[in-house]
Amino acid sequence: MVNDTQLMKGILEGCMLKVMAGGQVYGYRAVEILRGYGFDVNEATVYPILLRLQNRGMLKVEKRPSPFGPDRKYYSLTNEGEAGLADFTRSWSKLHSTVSKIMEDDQND
Amino acid sequence: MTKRGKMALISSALLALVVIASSLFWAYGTKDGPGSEGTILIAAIVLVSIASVVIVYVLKTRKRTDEKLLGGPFYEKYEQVKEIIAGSQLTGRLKADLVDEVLDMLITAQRAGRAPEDVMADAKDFAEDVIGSFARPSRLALLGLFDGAAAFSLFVLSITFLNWLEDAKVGFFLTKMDLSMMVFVAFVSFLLIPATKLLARAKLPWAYLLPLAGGALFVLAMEASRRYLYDVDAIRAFIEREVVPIPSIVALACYVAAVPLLMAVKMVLGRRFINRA
Repeated sequence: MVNDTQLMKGILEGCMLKVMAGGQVYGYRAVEILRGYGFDVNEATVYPILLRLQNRGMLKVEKRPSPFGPDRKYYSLTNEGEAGLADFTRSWSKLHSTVSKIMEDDQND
Repeated sequence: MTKRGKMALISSALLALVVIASSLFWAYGTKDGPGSEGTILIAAIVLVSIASVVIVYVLKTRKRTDEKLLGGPFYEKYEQVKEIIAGSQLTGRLKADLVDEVLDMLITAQRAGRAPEDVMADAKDFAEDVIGSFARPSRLALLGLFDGAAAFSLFVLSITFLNWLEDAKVGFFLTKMDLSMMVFVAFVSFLLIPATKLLARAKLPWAYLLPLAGGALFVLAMEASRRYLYDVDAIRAFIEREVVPIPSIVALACYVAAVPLLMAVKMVLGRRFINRA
């Protein structure tokens, strides 16, 4: 499992955008998806991230009746969210390749 | 009822008892007795005190249909988050929205068989994280000052009114209040109430007793100062000095207008401070 650290918050935001790109997802389902990929996250971590992304205009919300309890919020990407996801993808690819180069270079052993 | 609910209920019952006891002491401690106006006032105070305890009981035991779906440990987490969000400076609609979302989240997690600690290790941290995603804590604290100022106005108005009722022959605009009482009212409005809210957010349900303890401490401090420090000029002046908090119709208008005005300014600032997509 991947450890949850401060650094993870930014990465999680990018991953959350990717999860939401797949269509409308509600909070608990987003937690399940991220956990399925190996992130050690719970609702308490994910929920504030969803709110932040929503407040930045990257996610839009649609409320639908829940089979139990109050109405449920389903999140999906806005145009800004799509742009944010593209930015994150570029930044992550660059960071990933840079870090990989350092890690794989025998001179650094 | 949860532990927090019980503490809130005990605190309100103690406060009501103190208010009733001091009113009775005030009314029947004098040789003339309370008189007909005084009796009506005492009856009203007793009634309001008892009603406040009943209201706290109802608020702490009443659950919405959806809330009944949560089991004990999940409900405790929910109640703590709900209380912190409700006590925050976010707008009413936003608070209601957030509480509903948290409720849905916890019901879903409970139905999925998750452990409450696994879902939310620390309810206080979670609630503050949620609130923090809308506004910086310093800005929310600034909004809290408006509540303090409004509470101060209301306290001064009601205490002056009660003092005036005590001796209605003296004109309302000549009614005096102890300087020490004014200082105490400011202390309660700007420090004690916010401190109670802050401590009650954490797992410190005894914080509900703070207002009562603050009142008792004030009485004790004043009595001790009167007995042991009365020779000190500054202390004697502080104890004995009286002020006329509402000396004119203009001052009364200012106090009355202050509350809606403060709330209006707070609302305008809140719209600027609180991010809401």
